[in-house]
Amino acid sequence: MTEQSTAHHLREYETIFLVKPDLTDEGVDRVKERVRGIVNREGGKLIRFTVWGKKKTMYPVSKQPRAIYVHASYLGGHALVAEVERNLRNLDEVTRWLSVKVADDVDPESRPVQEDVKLAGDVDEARGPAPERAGPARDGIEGEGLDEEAPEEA
Amino acid sequence: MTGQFGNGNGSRGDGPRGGGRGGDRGGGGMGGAGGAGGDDDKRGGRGGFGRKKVCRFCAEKGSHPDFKDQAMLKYFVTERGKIIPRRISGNCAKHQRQVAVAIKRARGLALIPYNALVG
Repeated sequence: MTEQSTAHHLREYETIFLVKPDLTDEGVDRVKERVRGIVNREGGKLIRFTVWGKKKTMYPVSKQPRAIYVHASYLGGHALVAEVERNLRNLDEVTRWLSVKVADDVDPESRPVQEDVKLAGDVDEARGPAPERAGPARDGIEGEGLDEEAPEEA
Repeated sequence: MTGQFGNGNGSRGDGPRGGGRGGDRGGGGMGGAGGAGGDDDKRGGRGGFGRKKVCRFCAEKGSHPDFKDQAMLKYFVTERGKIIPRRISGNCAKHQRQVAVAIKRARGLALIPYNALVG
């Protein structure tokens, strides 16, 4: 059973990969563009990247307690996944990956390309993008202004 | 001299000893009963207590275990990170297998621990 039917259906895959946490946004974008180039080169169709952001891992990955999670959803043939994983293996920034087949026989026309999504991670490093944490992110104003200076009034 | 050896041992060959599998006698356990309401021989009494549990994936049509959904998967994992058996979680066999696969994938991606130390 080859994939060369008249409708040219592809399989839908998703790959999640973990990137080192000290990588900047440009670094993550570079990895994304590399994967996008591979998918397009091999005749696939990339649907969307979703960057989950920097998350705390349940155990240290590459001796780091956190990692940036990136999720890619794409259509392609069976050789495309091997090619993507081969390239991820060569990149030093990528520490883990997992590819999963989501569906068989997907019509490329029925799955349009969607915009990339970037979510805020759950690490409270900048105290800004931490919507899920409800504890330690509240120590903004904490009694620093309680000096005993007499207010000078002119 | 008495015939005690041939006295009816053969008639009990495939009786209650083979009935340890409670799922066979439960009848119609098509994901609805979940097997928890079956026989109580092997229940540890830890979570079944005789009430019927429904497979939550069968109850919600179209839902299936997803290894990316950490919030959903943590209901099927103990505090130490072990997978909860089907007789306690109430899943049907098919979805329990899918849950196990999803948990193992999530463990590899560091979304769920392999072994969580209970402090």
